[in-house]
Amino acid sequence: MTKVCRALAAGAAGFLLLPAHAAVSQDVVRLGNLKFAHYGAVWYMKEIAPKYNLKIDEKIFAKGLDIVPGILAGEVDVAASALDAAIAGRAAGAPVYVVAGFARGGVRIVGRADLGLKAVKDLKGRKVGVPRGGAQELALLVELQKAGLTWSDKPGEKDVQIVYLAYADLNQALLGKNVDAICQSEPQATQAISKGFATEIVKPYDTPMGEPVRALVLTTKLYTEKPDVAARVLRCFVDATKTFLENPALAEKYVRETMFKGQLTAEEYRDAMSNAAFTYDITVEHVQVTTDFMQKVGVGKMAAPPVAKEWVKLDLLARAKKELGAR
Amino acid sequence: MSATAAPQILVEKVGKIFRSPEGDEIVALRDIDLAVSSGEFVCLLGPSGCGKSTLLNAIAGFSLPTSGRLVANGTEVAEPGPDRAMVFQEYALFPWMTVAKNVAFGLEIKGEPREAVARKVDGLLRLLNLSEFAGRFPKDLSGGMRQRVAIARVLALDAPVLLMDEPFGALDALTRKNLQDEVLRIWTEFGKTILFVTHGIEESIYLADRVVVMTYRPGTVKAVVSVVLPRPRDTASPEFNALKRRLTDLVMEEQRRHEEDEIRQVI
Amino acid sequence: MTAAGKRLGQALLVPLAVLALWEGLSRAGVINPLILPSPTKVALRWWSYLAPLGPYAPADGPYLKWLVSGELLQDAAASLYRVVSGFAIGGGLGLGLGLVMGVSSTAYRLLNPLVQILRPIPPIAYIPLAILWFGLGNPPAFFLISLGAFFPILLNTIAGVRNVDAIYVRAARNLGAKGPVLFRRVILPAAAPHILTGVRVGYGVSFIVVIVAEMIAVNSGLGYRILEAREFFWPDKILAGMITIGVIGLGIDTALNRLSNHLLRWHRSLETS
Repeated sequence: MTKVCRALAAGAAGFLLLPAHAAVSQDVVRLGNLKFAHYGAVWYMKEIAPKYNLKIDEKIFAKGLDIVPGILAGEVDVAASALDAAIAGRAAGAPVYVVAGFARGGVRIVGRADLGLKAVKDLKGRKVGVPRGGAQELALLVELQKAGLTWSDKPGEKDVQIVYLAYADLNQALLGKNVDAICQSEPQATQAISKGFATEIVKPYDTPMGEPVRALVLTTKLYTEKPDVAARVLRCFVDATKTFLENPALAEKYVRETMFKGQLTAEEYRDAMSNAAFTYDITVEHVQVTTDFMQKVGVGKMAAPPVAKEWVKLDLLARAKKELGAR
Repeated sequence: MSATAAPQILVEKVGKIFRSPEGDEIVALRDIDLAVSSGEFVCLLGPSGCGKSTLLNAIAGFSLPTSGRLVANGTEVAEPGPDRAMVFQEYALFPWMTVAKNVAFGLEIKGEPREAVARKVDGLLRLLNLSEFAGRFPKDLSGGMRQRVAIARVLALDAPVLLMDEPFGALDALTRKNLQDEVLRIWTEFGKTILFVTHGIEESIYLADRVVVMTYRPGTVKAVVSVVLPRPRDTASPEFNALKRRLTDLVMEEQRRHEEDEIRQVI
Repeated sequence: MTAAGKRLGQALLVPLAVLALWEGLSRAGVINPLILPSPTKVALRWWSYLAPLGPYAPADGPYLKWLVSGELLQDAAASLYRVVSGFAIGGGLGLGLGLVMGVSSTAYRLLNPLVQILRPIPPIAYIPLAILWFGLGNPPAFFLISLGAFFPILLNTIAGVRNVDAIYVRAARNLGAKGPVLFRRVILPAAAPHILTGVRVGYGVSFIVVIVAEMIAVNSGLGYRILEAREFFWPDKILAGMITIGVIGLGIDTALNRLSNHLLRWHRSLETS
């Protein structure tokens, strides 16, 4: 009898210690992320991660390029960023695979409200602010090329002067009239318009490059050495995105309250998300086209641009989508 | 002292009170009466704390008396000026100027033309055997040489009154003797009125026409001893030594009071 | 081997050993080239940074102009221009205000509390405001750099003036100097050692600040080039830029040192062989 009692006691103790035990068996995944409205689903992943026995240790960066040193140093396992940053990082030797496309759109060229700029060709002779290495830079330059304009970061040399700024400084620079237009992300572009100092010039998706897609990348190490964890990360991602797509009210609440701590109005959110969308997919073709355009307009200055089909691995995504019934 | 000629320096019932930050009053000088004739060499003698430097600074115009009257060169003393040139114990040469520039300073301030300044400076440097050091900085000179420069600097102004505040206190005995003779030579040649502060009894007898012995705080005139010996004075002579004994007694009284006061302060 | 040659050898011994070790470890594959490129790679990159961008074409202009058209020289010139300008502004203001506050105890009592509150704030903390207040381009950089130079020079000038030995002032007044003449010929030279110390410290801070300031709102200069190299993942160029900054900084500091030693050759403390 005592033996049974002891066994029961051990079992009860084990059961009581279960949460701690469960925490120990959770796999820690280090995620590098950015703070933009259309990154919301990736932000949401950490909330539902325990369901997949994952603990997501999230680090927020200012832009995609900044995550690459973290990857190189082995401090980041998963990253969400502009595709351009991922491509440039891969070209510089970052050991990553593209495994999903979590958002598209999210780029807008806006001009100073008082200048009344209406089209890209109006940017001739003007100063345009843009962060280096993000989706905005490539989209802007491709648009300029389409309009037959030349550009340079040195004043007076070409049709358009590019001023490289941080995301956080763009709106301010426009407001302070230090630049005439900016190519901005969301929701900041919407906010500039709603606050009255900017007007939209174009949503730059009307080029052969199309709408830019944001990439979710995994380190090759995670992909090859811990395939089970990698698969769970993808499942967590698909789950989060599916939730956001099926429940826009939840998405809005999360983005407005948790991500932006109430600094974003409902109207601003909706307007921002009318210029962006949460997605699952990315194609090898899109990655290759983006790489080619980067080379054409000189973004990233890559000596050896990566070949898309060598590092885009969509198998885990396909599996996760099937398992969760996502389309 | 002639009764008809006005004194070069007149000190009349001069008193000086310092107020410490805590509010205590220190009576440095009290009721000083002194008249120095033109061309006289007067020494102020006494232990530390007797106010002799305070009196000199008052005459120089750095720190005016709190009571009484001070007249020098015919005017009331109100501020420092080149008519009462001072030689300090610490030399006070401007370290960023060469010897020549130091000596030229007073003349340049006066606005004298460049050639005249150069000539005067040359002459003074030769007078004090400093010609070969004209381009050196004070830091390269010995104490004795520095004091020579200080004297040259002061002579450049041709001031009628020279105030000397223990100028040889920091020098060794041999250099001191040389400079004492130097001062006497200059005094004889230029006919200056010299007020010389010292606590060296022998020095005072060697140099002065009159020695004013001051009391320890509050400083007053304890005694005025005339020295009528011909110059250069023989320090071994019986007259010299008689004066020395007399002055020593006077000074030692004050010195004892100084020491008792210090002990009292410690207790 | 001459004494000077021996000294030079000793000075170079440790740096060369470090370089050799670094190169060896890089070649052996111990060091990840993405994280720390080898010295040879950095040296090659530095050379290409220095050299003109294309071959000489007589149609473009004189040979000399082409020779100095390399990116490194343009960047160095831009950075130096900013340092010198910012330093002149901040240093000039610091010197002027320092002399006033040193001489006038009223000015000192009124202004010192404000100075003491602002002094501990590093110029870098003003970066977010710099663009807001001054826009883009050189003005915010000038602002930050002049801030860096201002406080060391101000404080050292005040100290220098206030610590002028009273005996010099007495001697000068005794010799007939008053007011502006006294100030110019006595107080200023006497305060010079302190002021020059402030100048050297202020320059050092300015040089640090220019590199940081160039990472925010300009598009030329050594700091900007390092930021650009970071965004293009060129660690060899980052290192090349850093080395350039080190060398230029050392050069200017040596020059300032020499100048200071000459101006203060009369000072007692310089009595060393």
